[in-house]
Amino acid sequence: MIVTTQLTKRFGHVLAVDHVDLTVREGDRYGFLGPNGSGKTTLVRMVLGLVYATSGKIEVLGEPVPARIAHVLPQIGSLIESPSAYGHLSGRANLALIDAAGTGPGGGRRGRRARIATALDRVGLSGVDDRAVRKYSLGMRQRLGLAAALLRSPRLLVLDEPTNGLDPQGIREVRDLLAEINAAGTTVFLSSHQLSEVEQLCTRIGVIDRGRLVLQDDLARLRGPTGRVIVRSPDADRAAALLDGRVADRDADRLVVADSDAAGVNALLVSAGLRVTEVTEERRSLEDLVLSVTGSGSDRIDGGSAGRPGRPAEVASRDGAGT
Amino acid sequence: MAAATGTLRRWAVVVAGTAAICALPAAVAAWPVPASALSAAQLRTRIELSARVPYQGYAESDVDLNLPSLPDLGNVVSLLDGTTDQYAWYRSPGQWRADVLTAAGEDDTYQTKVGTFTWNYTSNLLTQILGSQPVRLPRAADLLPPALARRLLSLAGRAASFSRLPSQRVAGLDAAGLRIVPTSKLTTVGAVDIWADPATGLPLQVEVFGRGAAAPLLVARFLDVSLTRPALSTVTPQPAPEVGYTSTELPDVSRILNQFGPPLPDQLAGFARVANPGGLADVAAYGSGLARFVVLPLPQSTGSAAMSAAKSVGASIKITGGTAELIQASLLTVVLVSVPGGLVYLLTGAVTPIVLDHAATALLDSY
Amino acid sequence: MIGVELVKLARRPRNWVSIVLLCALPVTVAIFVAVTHLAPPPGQGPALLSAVLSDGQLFPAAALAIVLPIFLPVAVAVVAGDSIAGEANAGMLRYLLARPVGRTKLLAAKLVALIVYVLLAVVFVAVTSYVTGRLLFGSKPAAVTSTGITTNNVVATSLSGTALTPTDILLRTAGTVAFVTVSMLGVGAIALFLSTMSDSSLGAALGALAALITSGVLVALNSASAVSPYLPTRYWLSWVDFFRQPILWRDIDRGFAIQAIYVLVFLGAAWANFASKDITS
Repeated sequence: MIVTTQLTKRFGHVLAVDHVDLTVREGDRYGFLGPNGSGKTTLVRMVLGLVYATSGKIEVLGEPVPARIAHVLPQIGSLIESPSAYGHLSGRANLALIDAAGTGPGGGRRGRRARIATALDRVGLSGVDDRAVRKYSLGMRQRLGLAAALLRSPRLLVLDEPTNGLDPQGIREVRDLLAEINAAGTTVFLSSHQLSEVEQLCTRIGVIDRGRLVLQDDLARLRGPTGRVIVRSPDADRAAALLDGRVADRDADRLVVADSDAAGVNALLVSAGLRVTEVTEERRSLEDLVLSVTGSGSDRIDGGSAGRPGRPAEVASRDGAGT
Repeated sequence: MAAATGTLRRWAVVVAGTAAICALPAAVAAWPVPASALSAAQLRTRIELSARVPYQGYAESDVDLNLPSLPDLGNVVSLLDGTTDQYAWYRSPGQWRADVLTAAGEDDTYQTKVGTFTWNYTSNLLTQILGSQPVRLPRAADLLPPALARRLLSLAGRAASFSRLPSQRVAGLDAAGLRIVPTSKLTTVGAVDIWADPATGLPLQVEVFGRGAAAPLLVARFLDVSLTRPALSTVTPQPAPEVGYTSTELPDVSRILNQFGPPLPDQLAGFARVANPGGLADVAAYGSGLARFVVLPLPQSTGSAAMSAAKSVGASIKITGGTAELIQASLLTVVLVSVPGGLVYLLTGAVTPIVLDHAATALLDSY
Repeated sequence: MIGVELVKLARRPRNWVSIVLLCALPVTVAIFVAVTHLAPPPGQGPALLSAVLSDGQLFPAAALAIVLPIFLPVAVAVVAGDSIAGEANAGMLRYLLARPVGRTKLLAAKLVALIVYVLLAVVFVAVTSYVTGRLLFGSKPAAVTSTGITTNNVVATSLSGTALTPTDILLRTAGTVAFVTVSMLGVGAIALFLSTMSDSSLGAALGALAALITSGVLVALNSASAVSPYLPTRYWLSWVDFFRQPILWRDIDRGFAIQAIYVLVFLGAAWANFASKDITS
């Protein structure tokens, strides 16, 4: 659905996007992760034809962008950075204007009312009255922005921080909505800096750090077993003795065993008469993953890998143009 | 990369288009004008005979005579120092109309078979001028290129050398040029250039140069002209019911001048008196060709006011038996001289100061 | 897209406020003139204002002369300066372009909306001032005149002293409305261009006004007479030529032409700048 090849964007001296090869496949729920100022938004804007690449190629829905952008965009729904609306108009009036604007199929006057009603219903604003958008809460604006993105039943949804400003209940609703839309065949490209949001929704992630794509893979594979087993036992001392040589790490009653066979370890311990509270395969958390790639992927001299080091000022200054 | 070249290409299109638009007037101006095969004498004759050629057009005169402002002459001074825009409709010598256009009004002159009318928007007044006007102050219509060119040509007479100038485009027409250089050394006029439509002889542009000057002191030219005959209704006054109406016997000079003072002599400092305009004995023109000046007496009040105004701007010259003030403007020379009895004479013309100095002395001597 | 822009134009309260203010100025002037019966002398003050005391039907033209030099261009510059920069500020530009609305199409729609705005403003001024003129100054009744004109619908005097019938006045006022509208488009195009350069509506409007004031100063300057035929404000006051008899088309034609050139050049520049601009707002 989205394929970029050696995509690069330079704003003056600042390299915002640096030779990125991104691939979003049809049906993906793609989570695009990166801290603010990492080039995330610039890349999204290039995909939508708002910002022109310095070099490299973009293909969206099989068509080259920006050459065939007018053909591509009608099939995309987007929420770029933050939702926007004409503050002095009502939500419905805003949707009507957005619906009437632009070319492409499915924007005719006929059925506009129904399209707007459906979109509002999907995002939970069906009961909205005629008050001006400037009186909306942040959450309502977010939902309105989503409704605008959903107006034309797009093949591809490009969403930037779609749950921003929503309460936990709203976040869950949006997540369920996106999953439902995805199940109906729409590819979802979600850019975010909230790991939990991506972790709970996405099937595939890409991580961008200072303009470079440092990781891109299926979430399931990334989060596959590490080949180690975590054991909790009140008899940790004896267990450690029993598993001598295979204990990689120990923290009070928690042992990390360098063995991929959890059942085998369990059987071994139980047959030795030890009490076992918990035996699980070790899996990496998304947070560890992201921190490890953004850490090791950097060319920083201090090379620290624990925790997030501070970002260089030059990169942070991209926020103005890029986010 | 693609975006950058696209931007460059678009800007190139816009800049090229803008340049083309801006260059258009220059290109039109630079477009060669076909030369005319007329000789100077032929062209002069055509211009002299062009009074019957109808036209309508927008004319602009730009005069820079540096005249000081003299009382009772305000209108004339603004005409002879500054830019005057007017639109003229000309059917024949007896039927024409000239509108002096201002930002929020106009001053019109109509010449009809019945007589001359003036319309002034500011005073909302249509004035009929009764009788002939043997002598009058210059008016805007005198600065229309055809009228001005024919007048200068008739003034110059045969006492000048005529030559052809390269053709140039005036108001979109290819105009043939004629240069008149007065033979007399006594005139301040260096040359008069006239460009006229070679087919009809209608003058389209007139330039008057001071002696030795590179830039003209007077330019009168059409900015737009068409040789179609205007409708009779256009050149006939058709006042609205609101319009005030009046008539006056003699305007301008006659209002200033009463008939008084002794008759002027037939010779003044060696200059012969030329045709006595309208039989007014007190106003006389002397000289020949462009070296010509007029002498006219000013009434008491106007005379002393003019004299004191001239004292502040002019230079006093010594004349036996009286006082005189000389004002040297860029083309015109003016001398005011008091004669015994309190009368003030105004002598003016496109002549050198020495001519008027001698004339003023001779005038005093005749008393 | 044009329809969308017109809806936005119509549903923006600010636009209507500006039109109401534009209409209020001539009405205020009319009230003062009517109460005191002191109009500026002919040839001074706003053109034709001197004539309205005798006939209210000339007031629409006089009203246009009142709003033309400052009030109208300021309103136009503000609206035009807001056209792209305002969308960028509201964050709507990216959504419109991603909709997708073609960039050239968006510019064209903005220009059309601007023309409609100016036309609305000018027509509203003309209509309100016509009503004001009729109410405050009345209209001359039928008259048999001293000069023998017995037409019973002669109502006003042209600058050339001829009579204007109500039909004449209507047509000439319509011509004035068209001319004043077109006269504003040059400023509008400059503001529209600046609006694509900057994300600040105010900056764009101020830039256009600065260009306008420069032009006004240069037109009045004798030593700049060589360039004055090419300045956007040079022919602004030429609408008064509609009220001469015959109508003097020369400056009117040039006024139309110069505005067309400004619109062409600055719309072209706006297009060149906007069509491949990175939208980062």
